[in-house]
Amino acid sequence: MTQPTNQNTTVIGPDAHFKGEMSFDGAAKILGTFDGSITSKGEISVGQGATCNATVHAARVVVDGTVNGDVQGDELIELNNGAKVTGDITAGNLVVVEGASFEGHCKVGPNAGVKRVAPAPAQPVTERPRIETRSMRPASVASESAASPGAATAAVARATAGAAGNTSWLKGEATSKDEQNAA
Amino acid sequence: MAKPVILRRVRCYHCGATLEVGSRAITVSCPACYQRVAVEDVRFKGMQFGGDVRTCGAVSVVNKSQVQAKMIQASQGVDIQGRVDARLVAGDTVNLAAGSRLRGDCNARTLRVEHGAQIDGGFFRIGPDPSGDGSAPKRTG
Ligand SMILES: [Zn+2]
Repeated sequence: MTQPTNQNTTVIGPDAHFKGEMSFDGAAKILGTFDGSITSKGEISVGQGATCNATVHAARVVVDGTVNGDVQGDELIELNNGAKVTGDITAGNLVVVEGASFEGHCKVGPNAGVKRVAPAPAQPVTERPRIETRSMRPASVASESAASPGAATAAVARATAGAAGNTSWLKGEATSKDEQNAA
Repeated sequence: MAKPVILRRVRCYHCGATLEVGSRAITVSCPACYQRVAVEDVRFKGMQFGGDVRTCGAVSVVNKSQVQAKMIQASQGVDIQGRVDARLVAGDTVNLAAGSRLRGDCNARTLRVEHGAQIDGGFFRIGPDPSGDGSAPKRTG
């Protein structure tokens, strides 16, 4: 599900579906589906093909996919070609590239009323955070598919963001597409 | 010898019909809806208050000028360097230069906001949506 990349970035893979709240000190990249709310003191990137039914709040927000919810970027919001945002935008600066679409109220500028992302909760998860996953199939099926190559990409709850130095805080549940299909 | 007439294509903001007009034309009568259609480029300088601005050309608001209107509709885009208090409907790009300020709703194909521009919370609809072509909204049913 969530995988760290080299530069303190936590990635929610394209096969993942996350429901709940997420908070990062560093950067995060959403490639799958995210429902809930996500905050970061760094950059949040919603990749191409990703869907966020969530409120997004970060210093910088870069959207290539779809966001249904309010987006707040203290420094910058960037809507790239193919981005689709339905919700209100509040940003220090806004970049809308041709081919992006946006529908909602818009406040941009130093007086846009952007409130900085609050620091992560008092007891952040600094070691391998556990994401509660629902077992949606019998153990026999699970072990069987674990041996299959598809299951390797669908590995759930590999949120080793702490190891990469990105303090993250997760509350919610995650499922992978393989799990959903098997269910 | 008379100069050859260069034609350009514009879209009537009343009915959406495509018209061919001379490059120097200021207004034409739409052959489809028989209404008067402004096709000139409009440039605002200084203070301007009240009324609507509708054109098939482009609208620009120069630096340090201020425009207050109910609506500014421009098929070929709006370039703002000053301050605008109006609902914008643009068939092309709305450009907000550094130091500019927009207060009002905005419906445009693309939006360009330079660093230092300010937008004060209107409702925006940006994207390749045909309703932002600068023509009047079409009634259905
Ligand atoms: Zn007409």
